[in-house]
Amino acid sequence: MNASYKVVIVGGGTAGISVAARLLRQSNSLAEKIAIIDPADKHYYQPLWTLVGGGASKKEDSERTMESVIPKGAVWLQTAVAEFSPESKYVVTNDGQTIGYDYLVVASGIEINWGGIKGLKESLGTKQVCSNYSYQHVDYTWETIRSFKGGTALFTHPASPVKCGGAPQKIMYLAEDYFTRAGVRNSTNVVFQSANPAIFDVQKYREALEKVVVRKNIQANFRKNLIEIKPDEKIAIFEDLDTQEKEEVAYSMIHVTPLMQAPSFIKNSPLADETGWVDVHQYTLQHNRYKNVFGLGDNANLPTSKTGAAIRKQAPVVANNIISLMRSIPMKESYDGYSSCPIVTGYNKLILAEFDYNKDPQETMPFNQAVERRSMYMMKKDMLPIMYWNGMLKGTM
Amino acid sequence: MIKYETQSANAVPQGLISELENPDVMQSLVELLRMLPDFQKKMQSVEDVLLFGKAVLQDNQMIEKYEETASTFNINAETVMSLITLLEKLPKIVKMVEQLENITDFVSSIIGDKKSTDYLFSNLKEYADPIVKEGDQALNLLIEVKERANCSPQNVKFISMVKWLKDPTVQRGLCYVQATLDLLSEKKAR
Repeated sequence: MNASYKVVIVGGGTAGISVAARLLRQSNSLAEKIAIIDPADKHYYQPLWTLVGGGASKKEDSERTMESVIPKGAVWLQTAVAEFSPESKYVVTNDGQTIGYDYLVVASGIEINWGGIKGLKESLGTKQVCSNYSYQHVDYTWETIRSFKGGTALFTHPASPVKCGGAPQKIMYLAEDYFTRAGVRNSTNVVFQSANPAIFDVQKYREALEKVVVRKNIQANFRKNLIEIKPDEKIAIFEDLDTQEKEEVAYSMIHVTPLMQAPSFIKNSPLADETGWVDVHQYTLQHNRYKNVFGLGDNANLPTSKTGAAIRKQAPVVANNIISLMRSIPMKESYDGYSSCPIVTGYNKLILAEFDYNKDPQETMPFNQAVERRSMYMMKKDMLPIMYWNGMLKGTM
Repeated sequence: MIKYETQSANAVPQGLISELENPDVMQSLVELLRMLPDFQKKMQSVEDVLLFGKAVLQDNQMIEKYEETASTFNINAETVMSLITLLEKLPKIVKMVEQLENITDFVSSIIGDKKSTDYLFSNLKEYADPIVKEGDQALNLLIEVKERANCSPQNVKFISMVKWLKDPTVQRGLCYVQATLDLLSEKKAR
């Protein structure tokens, strides 16, 4: 064993940092006894990338060094986990270190499978093929939208879980708004090809968004899964998930939401369920087999939308339940499946969807959040990043 | 005497004798005897504490002094009740203090985070710029009007006023006046 910690957190993303900060706030004795394992140099506030792709924010504002977000008192091990050994309570890293723990928190996020759609990896960032899901290429989305002169603007949603289920359509609404402002909307056909059966899961917001789609004259087609892009011919090939028929759609620009999956080192570990995600109890977030292991965030098998807002509610549950176990008292914190999606429907317009495991709205504001509001857009653009860096990552929000 | 001893021996219950013959009981008694010196020491300590307490209670001078000191505080039945009430409310108070602590730490974090303050101010500037620009334009217009009026004092003739009436800006203003008058008379009629 190279080292051993009271708590080892796998992943220095939103979930990992939030849990570490909360544990350290609750118990000073945990200082230097919590290790965060993450190989990345940078930490990103990814919700801002929608606005970056829409030309409304700078991508630099979404990036901080990992060092700057590691909570004081946590030890950052800049390496990647290769194996889990939950029976023996240790993890093995890529560089061969064995790290022991009393408690393990698995928060390694979701993995983007750029190779899952034929032709995407090679063409991304060129020939009007763009995607907001990469810091490197998010600028190209704005470049593509800004230089668009008309034709078919195609937006896709894949047949896999994605981080923030609303994001694939947010960029479409922003683009449509920009096309109108730029005077090219009349010569543009905006098409949304989604593998989902409807525009949104929660009925209240679905009804509101269906009206937005009609008002914006967007052609929305469902159960259509992008399987290939031919960038030179500007053709996208979709498979109909009901009939398995393939269809070609010609485009002038395409924004692709790539396929996403559980990280492979999770998928192949004893911590995963049969679908590859970390197998946790949906209320306590404790692993279903290993009682000293917890999982949260995008890599957990929770039946709710994978968002940063969901993590905001999951992190205190994990932190408090771990503290309870340390004190040998019953765990009392419970997660109700809360998730939220601020759906930007244009520049200065936003529907704030908030809901739980039952897909029932769980709204925070004292007004109907299914109505498009400028105030909510301002909150997303101006307030949420501040709350993220200074509240959520510090364990106070 | 013999008779007496016999009577005494007979007075010991048979059950007790058989209990004492029990090896477990015998073992316990031996253990108890072994621990007696330790018990005695502990008893001595307890006795010392009791003696100290007794001495304190008998020290009237000391008691008076403490009573006098205590009387300078507003400690009465109400205070004690308040203390109990406070204890009762502590869980709620702790939650509130924690929330306050979170807010304080959040605000401190923002103040100490240059990137966040820059982001906030640059966004606020985006909202404020158009308003400031409009204000500046209006101010410049006023200054220019004032300067011209001061520089070229002239007599305004009736014919000039008729010309003004044809100006689109004046016409637009008059439209507002007309609409206001119409609306007011309608409301009055109701």
